[in-house]
Amino acid sequence: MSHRCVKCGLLFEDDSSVIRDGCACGSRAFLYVRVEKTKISRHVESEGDGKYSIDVLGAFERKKEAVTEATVESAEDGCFEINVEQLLKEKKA
Amino acid sequence: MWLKKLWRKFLGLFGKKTLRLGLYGPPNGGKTTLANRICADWLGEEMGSTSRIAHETRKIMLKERVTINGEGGKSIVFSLADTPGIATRIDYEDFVREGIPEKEAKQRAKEAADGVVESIAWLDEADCVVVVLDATKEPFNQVNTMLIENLERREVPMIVVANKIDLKRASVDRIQTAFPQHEVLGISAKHGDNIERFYELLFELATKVH
Repeated sequence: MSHRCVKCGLLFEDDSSVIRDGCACGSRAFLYVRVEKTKISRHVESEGDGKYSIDVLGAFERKKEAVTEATVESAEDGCFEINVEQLLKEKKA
Repeated sequence: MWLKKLWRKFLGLFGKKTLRLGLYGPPNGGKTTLANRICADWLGEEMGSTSRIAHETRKIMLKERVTINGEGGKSIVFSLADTPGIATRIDYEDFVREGIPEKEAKQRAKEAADGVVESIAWLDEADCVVVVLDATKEPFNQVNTMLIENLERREVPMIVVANKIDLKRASVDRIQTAFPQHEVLGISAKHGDNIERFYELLFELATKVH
């Protein structure tokens, strides 16, 4: 399991001090996500004007990653489908 | 989370506690207008820019130490967070239709989607919430329902306001009917209608924060 910064999208391992101290972008909010360690890298990949294979928000493209935590999908160029229900569930106390 | 709460309680022993108040709701409900009204009334300055185009606020805007004075010399101190509007779909073409160039519209759509996640992430920080709904619109939708239900489940004290009551199409009753479990207060953040009652409710809200 890993943590993804909700602001810049960077992924961090469970034991990273960044989780405690905050991300370099200034954010202290992280989403708990399931991802292999080898995939921990900056996942903001632009495929052209306004199109992202995995968006900056920490969501995953379901087709590629097949994870259940998918919350934001760039369905088409410049359009975003946001799974608000899933996001709220992740934030459930 | 529990450590943070404990730390705040500890700090509260030595001074006035600063409550974190979040303004939440769908886009274009008037959250920034209400934040501007609160800041103008109590700090003499505005907080952010407003627009008729949705998703004008795409980052959380935070104003620290907003002190609101009440009767009998009482006061409460808030950190006020104006959050980006929560939506389930953001399409750049909606911005293009409002006259924003395509490239800028796509960037705006991405920032708005980013803002939704940031808004929800900040719920962990909020001690209490004001849900700002547009009184001229149908309130019974997925976003409003999920947001209010989630706040109830988390036992976050909240006020539900029906904003824009200065407009002819506004109906506070419609929102009250959709969320009968809450007392809905009709306000006009723009013109200040019912704003005194709103501040009274903020005081009551502060007493509900554990």
